[in-house]
Amino acid sequence: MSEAGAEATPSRAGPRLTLLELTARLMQRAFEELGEGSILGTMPAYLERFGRAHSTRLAAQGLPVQASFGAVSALAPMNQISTVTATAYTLPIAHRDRAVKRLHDCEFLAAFEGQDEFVRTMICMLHEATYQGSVNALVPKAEDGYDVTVRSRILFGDDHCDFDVRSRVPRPREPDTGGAQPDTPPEELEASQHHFYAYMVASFVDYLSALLPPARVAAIVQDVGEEVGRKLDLRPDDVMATLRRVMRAAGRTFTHDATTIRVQQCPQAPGILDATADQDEDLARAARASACGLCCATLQGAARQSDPDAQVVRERALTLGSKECLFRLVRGAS
Amino acid sequence: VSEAVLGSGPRTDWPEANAIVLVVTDGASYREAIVKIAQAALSKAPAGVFVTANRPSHVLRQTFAKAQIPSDAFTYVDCISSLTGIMPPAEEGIVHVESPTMLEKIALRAERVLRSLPHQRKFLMLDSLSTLCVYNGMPAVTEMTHNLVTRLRTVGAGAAFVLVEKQADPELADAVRPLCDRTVRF
Repeated sequence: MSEAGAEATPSRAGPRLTLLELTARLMQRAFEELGEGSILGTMPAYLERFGRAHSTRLAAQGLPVQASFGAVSALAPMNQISTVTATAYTLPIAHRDRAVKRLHDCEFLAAFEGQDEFVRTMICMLHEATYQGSVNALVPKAEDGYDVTVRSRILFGDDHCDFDVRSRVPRPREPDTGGAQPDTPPEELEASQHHFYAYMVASFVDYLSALLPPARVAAIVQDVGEEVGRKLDLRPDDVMATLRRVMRAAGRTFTHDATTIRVQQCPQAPGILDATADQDEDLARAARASACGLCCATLQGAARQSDPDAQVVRERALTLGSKECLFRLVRGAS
Repeated sequence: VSEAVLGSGPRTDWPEANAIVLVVTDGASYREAIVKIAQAALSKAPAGVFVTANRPSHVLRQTFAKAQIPSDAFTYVDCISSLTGIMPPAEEGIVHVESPTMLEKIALRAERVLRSLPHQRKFLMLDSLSTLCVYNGMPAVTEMTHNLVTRLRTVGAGAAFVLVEKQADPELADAVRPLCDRTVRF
């Protein structure tokens, strides 16, 4: 039987929330496993690179960015990401020498609002690092770039998060419109959203892979994926029907029989490949395998809503050079 | 310098109170290692200084409370809690250093607190050399460790220096091992 993801018209919120939840859980585990000191010493630099890489990629795809012109123009890639992730924002200050970007929503609020103050501060610092990397990605000389400071934080009860972007060199206090934001068709927006969140999840897996032994990363991935899969809002019936529902929600094109699901197109795969593209081939393969392992573990968690004994294994993966992802139900009712 | 594996009975595995020990972990059992090392060291000496560059002291206190380690067993020199820019409130038993980059200040504070402890047998636990290495680089951390070991030997105190292998320059363990009486792998 074949089943196209498009037939089920999955909402943009479903996979977005799942990928956000996976990212949040991975971050929590990273804090626990590595310690805050190691995280603060290594992750901001990693996220600056993440911000830089994403801006560079968006510009290469045709997003108009005149980063040297002014602070708002330099924010264009992050504004595009806000659009892609449906995060409302305004620009209360929009000059060439200084801009304040105001986010009216925090995607990590649900995951982190009840947590320790130190952890919440870290989340805001990491977000700041991503902005820092992004606004400077397309400025030819670093000394001509910008510094970003978070001025208010939703995670600390403020109404909004303000990212204050200030020029490091004198730029005139003139309005900066930031150039025209592209009018992206909804289907492209959805593809970009899949790409961005998959890129983010894969980046965290990649980060953990750099600092922890492979077996530990595999265990974390399995725990996190299963935990999130178990909490997916499904109407569990038989295991295969549950798995198909997850596949449709994730926007995948797949075929299936009584015990297998074969994915021919996965909207998350390009993001995973891009997030690991700059790595040495062995490290990249390991990180891709772990990122796709997260998907398999999530499926297993979802399957166990229907059958506590269900076990799902991944035999092939698009991101590892195969023409399809092959998931097999090796134990449990079908 | 002998090398051992910290087993399930660390209280008997741990060397004498004034030994300087390098504890190497691969990171897979880091949290468990910290608790076990603390328990093992406390089995040989009643109190110590915990220099933390990796976990905020209030998190460590919670962790140790769950492991039934007495709350007054450690005085903390905490060089991570201030790093977010929010100065933590003053609290008894915790000395804050602004940043893990201030190695000399960390060593001075640790020595001062150690000297102030009213016990003959006491020790210093440092978590971790690898985290300090992230902020300062290997040569500076090796030099600080060398200075600290000299001061500890003068005071007659023991130490446990934690090193997470995958998070540090591979040469760090080689540089620090000769300074220590024993290496324990966890």
